[in-house]
Amino acid sequence: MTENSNIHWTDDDELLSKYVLHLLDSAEEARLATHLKACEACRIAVTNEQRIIAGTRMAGRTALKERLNARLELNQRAIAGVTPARSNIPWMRVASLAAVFLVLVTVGVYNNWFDANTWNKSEIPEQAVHEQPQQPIETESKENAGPSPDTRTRDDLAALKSSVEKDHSDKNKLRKTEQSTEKGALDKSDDRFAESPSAAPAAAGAELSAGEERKMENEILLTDQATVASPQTFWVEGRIISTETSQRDEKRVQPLAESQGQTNVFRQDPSRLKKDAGQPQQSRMNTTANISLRQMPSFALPAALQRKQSQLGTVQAFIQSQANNIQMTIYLDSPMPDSELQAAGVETIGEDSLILNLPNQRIGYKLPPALQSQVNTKAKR
Amino acid sequence: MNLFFLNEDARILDQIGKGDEEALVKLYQANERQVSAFITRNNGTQDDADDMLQEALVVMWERVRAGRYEHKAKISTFIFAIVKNMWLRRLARTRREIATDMANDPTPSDDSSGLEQLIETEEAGQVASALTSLGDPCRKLLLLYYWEELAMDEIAVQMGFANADTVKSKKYQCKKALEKLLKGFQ
Repeated sequence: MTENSNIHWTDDDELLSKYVLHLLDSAEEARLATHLKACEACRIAVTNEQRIIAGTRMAGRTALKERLNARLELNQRAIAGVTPARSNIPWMRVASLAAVFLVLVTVGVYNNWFDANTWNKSEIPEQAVHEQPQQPIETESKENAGPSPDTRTRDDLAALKSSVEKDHSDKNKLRKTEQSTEKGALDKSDDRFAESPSAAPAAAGAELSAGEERKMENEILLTDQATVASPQTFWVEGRIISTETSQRDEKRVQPLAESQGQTNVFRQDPSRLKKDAGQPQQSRMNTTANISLRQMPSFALPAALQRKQSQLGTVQAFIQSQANNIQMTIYLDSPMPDSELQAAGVETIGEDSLILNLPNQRIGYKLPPALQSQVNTKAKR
Repeated sequence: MNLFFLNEDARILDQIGKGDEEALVKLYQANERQVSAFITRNNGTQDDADDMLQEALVVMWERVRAGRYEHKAKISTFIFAIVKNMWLRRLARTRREIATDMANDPTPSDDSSGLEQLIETEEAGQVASALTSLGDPCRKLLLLYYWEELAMDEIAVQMGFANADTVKSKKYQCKKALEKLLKGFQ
């Protein structure tokens, strides 16, 4: 290297490092070592470099040993299968609590499912009743009429009563669901209902002769089922007897008084419908029997009843009896004009049936036992 | 059987070459029993055995990383040889210290290697401390160069520098920074 008095080979940092690390070939190393004997500054530089290398190696070894120890410790813990953190956890207790929690969740889910399926259960007796052969009102054919009223009266009534009693056990759930559906449906249904105000009822029956009509009425009254929802509220299913009002048997018809309430709001503009959505859409009639009649869209019915109404052409009604007042809500596929609702009348047949006479149709309802005496008493006044 | 060990050794050497320290754990576990038996049979304790084995593994690591390891025998043989030499040297030094104490000789020994070694160890400790406070890039670079003895281009690849010249320049700066720190210690 340079042998100038002011310049030393140790000034070359890389060469110095390689010399100390013994990375040079032996001849080069020997030549540089010879120079060191005569160069005090070079010896100091080499000593410094050796010190740095020794210190760096010490640091490297210490760090490597620490890492190795850490890895060994980790491996030993893994082999033992227990870490300090784990050993502090009472796994048996945790497992027990988890099992209890799981059981509670399962019971909760089951109960929730049970409640959610209440509707299905409440439908069962109604479906059972409808599975019994019935004659469609719209048809006049004797072949299609099924068993005659005489042959089926007692059995059918017994079946009907048993189904009503069964359904009575679910009355509370049914009532809650019905009322909430009734309210909720108002909000969403008015516009839709107003779209087809003049639509004809889906199951308008054919015109019948007086004799045949009487037979059909008997048939309906015998086969119609009345579902008791609670001691004060009832779901009753009505059959359309004819599409025109028969004014025969006038002595038993109690005409409803003139409407004193609001007009039929179903036919009014949507903005008002929304505003009045929370209010019952009714046309109150003051009758001698204190029967208030109001109408609701059929899609406000609970799903099961709505389905039944559309399939069988029935007219579901919800009766609320409080003190001397009876409020009857009929669920129609299309709204009824004010004039028709005002002209409605009530006709009682026997002790347990009621016919609602509307201007263009008659609807027969079999009343539940709890309501029969009340209606008849009022009707007799 | 030999082929299996050779293959395992090759795998271990490859791991060390790549800087995988898990290889040291495998070597430790493979040689632990043999080293422990030797040390405890020769006046040592289990702690001595652990210490010796770790030292031997560090030497092994350094040699392989610096490319100064020659695979002439099984790795376990190499490690046991290192442990044996280190332990016997330590025993010899201890005996000498014991003998010196028993002689109760007040005159200092002519052998100055002990003192020099102590000074060297002290100085090395200072460098190690200064290196710790140097910061990560410089510390890593100096460790790779002086301890692992990697070439400049290898360091460039490992540390993401542009080329060997960059590493050379950076290493010079780091060394100067370290020397400055060391002056502060003195």
